[in-house]
Amino acid sequence: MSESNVSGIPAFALNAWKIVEAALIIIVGVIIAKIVVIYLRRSFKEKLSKETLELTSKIVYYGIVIIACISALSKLGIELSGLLVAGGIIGVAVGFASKSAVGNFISGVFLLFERPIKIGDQISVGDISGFVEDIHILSTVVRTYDGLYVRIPNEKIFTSNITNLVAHPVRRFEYLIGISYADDAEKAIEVIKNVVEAHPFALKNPASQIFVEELGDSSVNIRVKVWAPTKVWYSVKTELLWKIKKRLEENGIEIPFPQRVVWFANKLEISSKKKNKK
Amino acid sequence: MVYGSYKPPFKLSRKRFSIEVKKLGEDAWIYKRSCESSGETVKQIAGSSVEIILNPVEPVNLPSEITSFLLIELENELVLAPKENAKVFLTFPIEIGIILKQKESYRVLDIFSLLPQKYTLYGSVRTGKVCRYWKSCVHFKTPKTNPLEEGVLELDIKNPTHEWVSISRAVFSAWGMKIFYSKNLVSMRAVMKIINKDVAETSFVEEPLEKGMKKSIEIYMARKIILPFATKFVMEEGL
Repeated sequence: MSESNVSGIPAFALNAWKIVEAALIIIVGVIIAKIVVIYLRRSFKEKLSKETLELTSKIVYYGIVIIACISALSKLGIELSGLLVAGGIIGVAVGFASKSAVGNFISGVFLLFERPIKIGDQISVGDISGFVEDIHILSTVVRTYDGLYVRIPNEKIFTSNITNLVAHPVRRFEYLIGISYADDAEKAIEVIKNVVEAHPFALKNPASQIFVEELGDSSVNIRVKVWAPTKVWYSVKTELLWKIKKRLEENGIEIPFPQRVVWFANKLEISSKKKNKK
Repeated sequence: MVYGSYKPPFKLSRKRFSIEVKKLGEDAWIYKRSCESSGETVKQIAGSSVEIILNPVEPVNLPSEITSFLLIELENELVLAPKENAKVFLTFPIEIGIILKQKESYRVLDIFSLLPQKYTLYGSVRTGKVCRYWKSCVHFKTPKTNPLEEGVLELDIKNPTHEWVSISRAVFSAWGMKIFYSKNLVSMRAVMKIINKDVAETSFVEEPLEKGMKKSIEIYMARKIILPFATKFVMEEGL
């Protein structure tokens, strides 16, 4: 005779029902988590930064899923403390079996703590440069400047030299502008200075530096160093160069082509012959 | 007075800018703003009972919003004695906000200014803050200003320390700005509490400089989630 409880329902049927209940709790938990995250993203899209919103969404999502899992396990009568011991043993076994995955996971955890990069940052790792789109447990997703999707394992990021292009609030760029030897370099510096000062995002402090750097083969070279807020650094860099070029031209200052003066030891004679067609 | 509430259609023309809202059709309007410093802006509006509000707004929005801090550099350094308070008047740049209102819902339609903008860094390259830059003389009574260009900031400097302090700049957070306006004056009131010779805390007071002034809509506060500590700014990188 099979085992049965007082109500006459077989034990295996009860166990099956508990498993179904547990699975339902997890499914409902995941659905609720997804709905809450969608609502969260829609409501706070304009009010929170992308990075904060992504982090908050992940915490809320995994928080709800973990609560659902714990509830499901308690339905099955599994003690959490026992699970932790079992999980520890399984964890060691899985760790040995999947070394790279664990390496990526641990690197991901370190990345989260050390925070050398955040979602939305512009980074350069190895030969990959672009925007950090997401930081997962095992990998980081980067969108390159030409729009390609690149998934980088966290272990690679953690052990590579990371250049975070937007970690600091301001960033400097520089130009080398050559003017003709016939033009007045002091006037050119004054013209460039006025253009730089008129740009709102060319920062007052740290101050720009504009000076004659070298007497080149074909031109007097003026170095221009400008600090700009990192958020608008690229647009300031591209805008300013063209403005400087136009303003120098307006002031009659020539940006010369490379040129070389050649002296001949003997006098050159140029003769031309006219062909008479008859 | 330019600032205030307007019911479309209307036309407002001043020496250096003009604003016109014309009817396009049933509950549809076209907004045109031209300004000598920033060209022309055209937008279309749909709404049955739209009201248009012109207010001086937090001066950290132009040419694009990259920071929430305003740094006012003093033309001449101010030296304050120990255990003393000083009330000074500075000027600040005006940005004019055009805000749509329907029932109790607000939306910023346009922001412009009659003055050029400039930004600066307060602090070090690693930890500093990008700020909107403005240079002001230190006045000891309310200066006369053009309310379309400059506002007046009453700064109450409190030095409870036992040392002399030199102040050459003041940094403020746009989160806490309380701007008031009247026909001839745009104003804010702020407090700078000296913590030591290199550190001070700035905050705003929600009171007009003169009686009868109206409060501007705080567009900065309405746009983002306000954190309780964000309305104050601690100047840790020198005064």
